[in-house]
Amino acid sequence: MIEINIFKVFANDYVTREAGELLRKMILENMAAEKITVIVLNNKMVASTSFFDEGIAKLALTKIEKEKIKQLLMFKDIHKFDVPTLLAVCKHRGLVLDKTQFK
Amino acid sequence: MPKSVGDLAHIDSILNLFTNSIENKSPITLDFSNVEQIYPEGLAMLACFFDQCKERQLKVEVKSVKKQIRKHTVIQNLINFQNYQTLPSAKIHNEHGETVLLEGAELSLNIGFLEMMALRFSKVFAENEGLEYNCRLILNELMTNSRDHSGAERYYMYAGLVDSNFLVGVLDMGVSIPTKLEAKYNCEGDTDYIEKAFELGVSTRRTREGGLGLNHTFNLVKNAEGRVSVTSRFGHLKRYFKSKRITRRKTKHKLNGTWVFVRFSAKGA
Repeated sequence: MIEINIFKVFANDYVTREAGELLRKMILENMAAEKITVIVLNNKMVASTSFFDEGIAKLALTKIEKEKIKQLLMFKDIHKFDVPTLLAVCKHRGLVLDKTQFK
Repeated sequence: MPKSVGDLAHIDSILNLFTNSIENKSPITLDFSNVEQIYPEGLAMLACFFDQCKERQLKVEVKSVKKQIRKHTVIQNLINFQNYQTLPSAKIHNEHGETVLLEGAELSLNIGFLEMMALRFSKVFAENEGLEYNCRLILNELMTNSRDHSGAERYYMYAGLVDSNFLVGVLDMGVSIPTKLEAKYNCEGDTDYIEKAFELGVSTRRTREGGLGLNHTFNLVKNAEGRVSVTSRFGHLKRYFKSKRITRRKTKHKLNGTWVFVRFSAKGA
């Protein structure tokens, strides 16, 4: 299990598509090694559709099965207002997140 | 100058400053004798005006500024306009007042502004659940759009409390929404292009597809029954979600840029 603390790793930029792309690359590397990624958000607001879209939702565009994404991707302490934003951008890409993925 | 600078009912008189005054290249005298109030968006408009005049090396003079107006940083900068030999940093217009925050940014995202906003208006945010999140998301999307799409080297963002309303917005003087979108879409007029920009999946990008941010902004304002107003090129669109009123019109003067203004009601303000 590998934790990625968003507000530490992306302290200067947790908003842009470029930052989201970096996050997605990190997640994909972990998935290739069959490791669970836990995205840690410390109950702080991200409030960026671009970051969530590029970082998480676009996992749906890879060859990884959606069931595997559900098993290997978790979210810890996501801010309550970020949940609908994240779910909406993921749904737009055809990625449905499960409530078991949220701690 | 109108009585309330920033009041969108007077948008044409403000745009008139930008076009007639700047294009005529003659010295400009800003008469503030009628001005009683400058809204946060008015400060941002005046910052844009300062920059446009300085870039074109025009002469600007200011007269009859009341004491309560003189306190604003951008007004001081306009009064001292001739002291600036070249275009200064966008940060010179920064204002961190009790009820208004204004900052200029150049080519980068101003994430620190959001933290400052959260701190300055913590009491209002505590009494209005969801307001802080909505403002953060909207400002993130708008400043990202300015940085990525407008081609402008700088933009201005503001947050402020006026009466029982919380106001946020981002203004740039870059490539307008209609100019960007007409390369990809066909619409009848500039206001139609502005409406198009708020549709899900509409983007000017050829790579790294997007088109989510403005649509999400639109939905947030709608759900909170706020107001969003966009002026870009000759288009002017205002959506009042509480009263379900829409104003769509062509402006008398062109705006070479995009100004987005959002307003939410705020309890306890």
